[in-house]
Amino acid sequence: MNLEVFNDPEIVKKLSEAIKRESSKIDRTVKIMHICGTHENSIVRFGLRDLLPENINVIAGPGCPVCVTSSRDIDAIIDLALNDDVRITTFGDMLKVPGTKLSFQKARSLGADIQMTYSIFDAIEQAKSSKKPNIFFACGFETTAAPTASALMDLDIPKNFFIYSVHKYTPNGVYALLKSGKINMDGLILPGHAATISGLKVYERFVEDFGIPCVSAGFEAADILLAILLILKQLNSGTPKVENGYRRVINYEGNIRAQEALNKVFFLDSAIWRGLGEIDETGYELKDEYSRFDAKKIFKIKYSENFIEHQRGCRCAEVILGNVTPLDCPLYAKRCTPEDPIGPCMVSDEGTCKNWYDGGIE
Amino acid sequence: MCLGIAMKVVEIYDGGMDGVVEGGGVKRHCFFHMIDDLKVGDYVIVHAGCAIEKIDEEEAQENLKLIEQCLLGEENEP
Ligand code: SF4
Repeated sequence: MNLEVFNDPEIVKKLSEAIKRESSKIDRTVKIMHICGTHENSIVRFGLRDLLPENINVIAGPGCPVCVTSSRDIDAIIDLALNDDVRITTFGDMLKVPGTKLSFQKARSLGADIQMTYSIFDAIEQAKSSKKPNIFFACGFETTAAPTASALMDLDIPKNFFIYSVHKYTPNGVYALLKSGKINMDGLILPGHAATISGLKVYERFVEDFGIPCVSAGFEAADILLAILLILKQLNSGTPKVENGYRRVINYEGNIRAQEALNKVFFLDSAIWRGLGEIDETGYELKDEYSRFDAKKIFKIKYSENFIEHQRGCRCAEVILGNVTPLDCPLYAKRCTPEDPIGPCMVSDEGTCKNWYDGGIE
Repeated sequence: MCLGIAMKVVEIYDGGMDGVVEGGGVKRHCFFHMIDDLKVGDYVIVHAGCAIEKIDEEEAQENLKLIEQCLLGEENEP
């Protein structure tokens, strides 16, 4: 299958010209938000912002699951790891994320048993070769929550394997942020792979309630430009709707099998989004039938109310909301770098600050 | 972490629950339990050790057509 065409320079050029024509009909700045760290990665990698007219502003919204994982959860699990004979497994992206006082990596240097893992499947294998209780710190949006749910449903899970879920459901989170006025936009690029799971139907209320054009996009240059073009066309014709610009992967209804697994294993509870507060029905928590895996219950996790989401000076919360760029942060690329990150947005490959830093944007 | 990569299915084990995928010269184990009716030779998006969706060849053509239509519409404008 030839997927290279979605990066064909000729197509990319034509799309950017079409965007210019379409944008010239609009005499104001148009703010288009995407909510996927991998989209930001593509935008920086392909230099797409340079191809856009001045009045088209593409900004990164809350699309990095690591960045919205609360210090409260990081602190709690680190506390457990330091005081109990347990092993924590988590994705590499999580290791350097600062909690209130420590990151996983720093806790490890103090003797906590914290291991990196590539997937829930690897984490289960790691548990099989360990005598300790193994707790998988499960971070990620629906794209990652679905494999977690399927694994718990379908696989033989060793008795020493547990989950601490910080999985989050994107559509409800972004909807609530819009409703509260914390974020605003003229158009929304829907997250290619999260929407593969959730489907596009769940975004219809963004159109109905806020009149925002919503277009899904893949991760090649042409995919993202196509979404921008379709959003501009919708704005110009005054007919906002949900459109599928990533038809080769996304079904309008989403991945039904994945949704069934999610519904069977999890329910949606309120969850803290780092720096943004608590948002209803966004946190995937294990249902009673699966509570034997629930580390929060089994290990009677206690939470401190004195957790700090962002160190003084770090503007991650505003970066996540798309209200400022990393360049607006005085610490960016100076005191805060991927080697020694101050905020979570500088850690993960999906974090906006990390993407800009790696892309050499100064 | 949320990175999904297009890979080709090269082996499916008994029961269709898992198998092997290949992309960029690298082969790896992959779970298929979220996808129905997968065949060797199909392309999938792999995320964190799990295929999250099949890439539909016909829809890929439709995807291209959508781009072409968009551009065509543009060029025909006065
Ligand atoms: S550059 Fe660092 S300190 Fe500044 S907002 Fe980004 S993560 Fe926070």
